[in-house]
Amino acid sequence: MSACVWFNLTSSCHYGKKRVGIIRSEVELAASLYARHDDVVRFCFWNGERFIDLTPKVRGYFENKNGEDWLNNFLDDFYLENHPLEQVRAPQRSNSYCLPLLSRREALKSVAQGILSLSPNIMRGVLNRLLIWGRDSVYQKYVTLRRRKSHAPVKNENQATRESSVQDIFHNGDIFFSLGLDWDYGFTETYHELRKQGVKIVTFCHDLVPILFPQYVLSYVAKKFPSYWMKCAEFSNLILCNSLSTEKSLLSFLDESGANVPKIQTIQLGDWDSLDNTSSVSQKIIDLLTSRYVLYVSTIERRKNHDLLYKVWHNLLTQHNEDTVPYLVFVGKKGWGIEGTLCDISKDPRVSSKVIILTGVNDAELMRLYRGCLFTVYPSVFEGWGMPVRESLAQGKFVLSSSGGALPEANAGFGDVLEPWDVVGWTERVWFYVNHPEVLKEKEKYIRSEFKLKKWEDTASDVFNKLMEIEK
Amino acid sequence: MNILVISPFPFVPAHHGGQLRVKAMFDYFVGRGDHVQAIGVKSNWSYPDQGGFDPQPTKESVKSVYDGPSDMFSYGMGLLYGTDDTYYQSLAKKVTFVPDIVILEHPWLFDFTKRYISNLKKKPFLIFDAHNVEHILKKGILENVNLSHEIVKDCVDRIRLLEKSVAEFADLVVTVSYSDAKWFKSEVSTPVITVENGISDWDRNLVDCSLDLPNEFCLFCGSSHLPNKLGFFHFLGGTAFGSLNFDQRIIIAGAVGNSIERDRNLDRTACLREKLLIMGEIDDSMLTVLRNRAKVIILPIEFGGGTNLKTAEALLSGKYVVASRMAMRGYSKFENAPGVFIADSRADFKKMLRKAMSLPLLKLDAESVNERRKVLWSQCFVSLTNFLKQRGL
Repeated sequence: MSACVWFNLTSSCHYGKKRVGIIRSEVELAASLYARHDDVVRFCFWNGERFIDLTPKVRGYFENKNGEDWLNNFLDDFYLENHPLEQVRAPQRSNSYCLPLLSRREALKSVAQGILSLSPNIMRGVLNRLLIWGRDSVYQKYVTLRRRKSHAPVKNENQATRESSVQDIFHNGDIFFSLGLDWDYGFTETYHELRKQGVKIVTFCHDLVPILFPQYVLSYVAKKFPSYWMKCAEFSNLILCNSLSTEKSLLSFLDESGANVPKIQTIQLGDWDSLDNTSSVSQKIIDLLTSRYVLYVSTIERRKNHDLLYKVWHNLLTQHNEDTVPYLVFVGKKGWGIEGTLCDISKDPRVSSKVIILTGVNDAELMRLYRGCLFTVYPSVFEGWGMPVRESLAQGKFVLSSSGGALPEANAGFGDVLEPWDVVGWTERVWFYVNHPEVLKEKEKYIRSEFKLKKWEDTASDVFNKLMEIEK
Repeated sequence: MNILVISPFPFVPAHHGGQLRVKAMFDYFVGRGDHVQAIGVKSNWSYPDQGGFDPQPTKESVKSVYDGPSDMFSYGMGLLYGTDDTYYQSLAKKVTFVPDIVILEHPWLFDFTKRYISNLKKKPFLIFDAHNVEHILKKGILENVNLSHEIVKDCVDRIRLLEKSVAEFADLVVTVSYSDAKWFKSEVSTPVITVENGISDWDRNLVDCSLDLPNEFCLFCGSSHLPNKLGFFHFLGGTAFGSLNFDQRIIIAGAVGNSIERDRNLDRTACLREKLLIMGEIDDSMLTVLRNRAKVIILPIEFGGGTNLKTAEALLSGKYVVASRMAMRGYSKFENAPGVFIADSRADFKKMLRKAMSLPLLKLDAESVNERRKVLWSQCFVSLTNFLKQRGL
């Protein structure tokens, strides 16, 4: 059997929701690579114990449902097959609740706290003991069950694709390529074994945010991320980076750690130029399109620096007539650590009516929002690349972005770049563009004529060439 | 000749670097055929008993003359023996002859020495064996314990003054390193020579193959002396540790291992704990086996320590040595020797370690072996021999 390229689809297989960011890149690259090199590329998935070969199933989707979304379709079906509860789960409501939602753990704690607090004194001792027992036994069992469900190895013995083990599916000379959220799974522990088998390992660095800015990520990610990169550095034959900025960060980190420095190269990820225009557009969006607004498309979380924009709009509304200040539209789902900013916005009488938060926006709506905005902003503190900046440029829209990480690279000179914490600078620049539509028009003209999209097919070709180079 | 050695600790048996140096000095004069006597005080209760040495004075009695931080106990003890008649007499009466040469080990018992010498009819030749530039060493230690800036400054100033006084009063200052010598020469006009710390050789054939050790490992030996632990984290800590391959390990021998294992900093560096094999305190034969089987010996010393005998042992081992520049104090002539890697920063140290661990086992030529054998004690006293000969002593 000739050597093949194993594309690790583990992250995408575990991701059942709308695929964005790293997952979206993984899917795009996997689909483009397979479309060009289906004779060489194979797909695998880590089931918690071993890698299994997904290629026969994926091939079925590629051959029988050969539309643009064949891989997404496979992933949707695979996810539902392994997470059957998802099929009956009610869709999330986007309207606000009368009380803030809590995690299941916190909700259980609150219920217990309520029972204890509201119970008569005479019963508290018994209830307390009962709750301690409940905490120690029932809750632990619940947690164990949840864990088992979410990380359970796939058990269906009828599926031939799931019978191969790590030893069976990889052969000497194969290339294992992984660019997902790999630190979330345990398979890096097998890299030593893979290398011993003669498998070449290629990993991908999207950014070093958990190391450079641990305050902006979940603590468990910040904790495991350095170890993960130590392992990648030791066992990778090649590490691909999504930008020169990421490459520089990675080299600096490996240098400081004394780690092995394998071959490290940068490739440019593809751009998303076309958004699905077939979905319906809600009345809320149609109404908004008649207004003047500045658009920020991003998950709403601390690192993305929505706080800066809140301060900028507060300044603008303090300094100028309210009617002259455009709306600020946030598009993206709410992440963590943003409660303070959202609370400030909702309680600030000047700003609250000028900031519109949209979640669950479909592609058609997003495209209309891009087209209708004055310009876009992207003040994120740090990015490994800057997909949304590219997306804005692909839609022909001028973008005002921060200088954090690779954003100047992604911006490529088509937009303006400002320090992420320079509130005064951002206020001045936003106000300038709000009042100079003729300058924006010129910039948009320049973007439309000069901005070159990177196609995913080209990225796939670049990646494939890099993979083949390590063969030599 | 009658030689009197005054030491702030007993040195039989000799374990730590300071004891080894005092013992070597004692043996050197014995080897010359002199009549040598050692007296002193146990500055720590844990030292074993040795004839000629007073037990550790109580904290209360030391406090009566100097009420300072616990790390300044030796300083207070020295003041006590210089000013308190009972303590002075207790030690002075232990001397059984009229000395021709007095060797003061460390500056702490200077007040006693000065008073003792002034009571003699004929002033003996006083050698101050400065194991360190103490005030610099102490500064590093005191800054790492919870003391105010003012207290640290007061302590450092006191020691600096004491060191200068001893050096001025002495007829000869002997330093451990040339950099220490530089400081004393800049402060006093007394002659200053350097007698680097030496070591004794060990059995190179003792490898004990039955001992289950990693195939490739680097060795870090150290006592519980705080700078050992601080140096370890200074040079091997940080966000992550990646210097070793999958199956390579760091073996830590000596009490420093226990304090490293307990330190919260250990888990702040990704992949460090999993690379450690902590042996704790081990006997000499085990240490010999580890030295003989190690691929690399590391010396991550950030500050202090004139008696860095671990450096000499590392050099004599004939293994790769990865050391901070501070660890090479006194052995700077080996900085460019084959198999020796010197690092100035954490990143450098880790990189050097990776490099050394990835090389084939070190094979030194005869010339390099002989060069490294210069760390043996027999070679180290040449400068002192020459000086004493010139003075007719």
